[in-house]
Amino acid sequence: MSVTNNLDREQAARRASTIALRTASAIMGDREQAGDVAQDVAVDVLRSLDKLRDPDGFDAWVYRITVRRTLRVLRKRRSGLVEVPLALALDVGDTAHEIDRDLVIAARGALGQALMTLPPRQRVAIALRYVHDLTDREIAAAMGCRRGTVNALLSRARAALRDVPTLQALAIQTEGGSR
Amino acid sequence: MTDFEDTMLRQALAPARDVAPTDEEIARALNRASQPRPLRRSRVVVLTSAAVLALCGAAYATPPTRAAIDDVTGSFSAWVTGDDDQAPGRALRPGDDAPAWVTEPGGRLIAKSDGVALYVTRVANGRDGTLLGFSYGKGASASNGVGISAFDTVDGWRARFDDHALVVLGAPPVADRPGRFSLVGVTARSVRRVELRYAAGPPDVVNGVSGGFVMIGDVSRAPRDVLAYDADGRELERADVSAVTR
Repeated sequence: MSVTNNLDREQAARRASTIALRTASAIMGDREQAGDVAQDVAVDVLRSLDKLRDPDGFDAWVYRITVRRTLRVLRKRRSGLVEVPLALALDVGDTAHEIDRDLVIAARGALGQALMTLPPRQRVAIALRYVHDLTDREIAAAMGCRRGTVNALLSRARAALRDVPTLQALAIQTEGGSR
Repeated sequence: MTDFEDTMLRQALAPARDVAPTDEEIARALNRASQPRPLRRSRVVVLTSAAVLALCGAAYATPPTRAAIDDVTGSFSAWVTGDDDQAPGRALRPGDDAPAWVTEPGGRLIAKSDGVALYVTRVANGRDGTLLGFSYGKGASASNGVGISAFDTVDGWRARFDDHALVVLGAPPVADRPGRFSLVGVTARSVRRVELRYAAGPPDVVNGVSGGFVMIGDVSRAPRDVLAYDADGRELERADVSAVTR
């Protein structure tokens, strides 16, 4: 069964582009670069839409293509370190309703720098977990690895972030104050 | 990580959750996808000759979504993880004259033409890793270094193969037939027929493809493209092989 019969191409392009854009934005921190990745992912998806046999597998398929495309870009620019301010360069918006707004802004600044120091696959795992709320199993499918590997990637990333002095200070400040 | 740190990470990345593509970006993607795909050089995987190659372990489990995708790696991934119902090609027979490293781990014959065979093997490596291997060459002489083999994890192959329905592995000359070359490739499950087209004259055709093919081509006729078709005769992929024999 071909998915093309059941899924409008524009709808598919929009869904694929949205998933890719959000993932790449979180990982790269640059809307323009994330947009380029999203374009490539959407085109990949549209060109191969008739190869997808199970419409329920659409999102997982897009995640996998997104991961591959994003990692490819990250690896290409690995040799020359590019300053990427991360998601924190995006508007703060109204997301600071649960934690103090200043704290969120500060955390974004610190995380922006810290995340850029993580290896690409750790950044991807973090983005899939904290942007898309994927389970370990779903992240494993997207990254083409075992669930144990996902656990390890996330653990290492969190451990590295835990060592960031600014985040430590924020955690202490919040646990001792606003919480 | 504490709940606080978890929440902080979620909050810090929250802006990315609200990003959305513009209508212009969607239109551009639709437009790009509708353009004819530029003919690119075939995905020729460079394999190191002789014996076993890369041994990069790491366990592998097939994510469930992969079965939904029809590409070259999908032809082999389920079998590598132990699903013998999904085995590609056919079991080896004594007369197949396959090299030891193919027969011993229970390799399978994917295709054979004029004595040149393409085998696939799955090999346990390390504690729980399983490698997928492709080997091709002429008979058991491959064990003397004439043949070509490469092993990697399914992930490794997938990275090389992308989502292609056809990948050309190589085109070595046929030793005892001057002017001839053996075109060796792997295909998605849906591929049933492969054609090798030349600058002029009729194509060479292989029907009943099951995971891969071996064709004996004629260098003098200037090979151009190799095409993969499904059971309904639809063209699934086309690879430029004009440079392969130069």
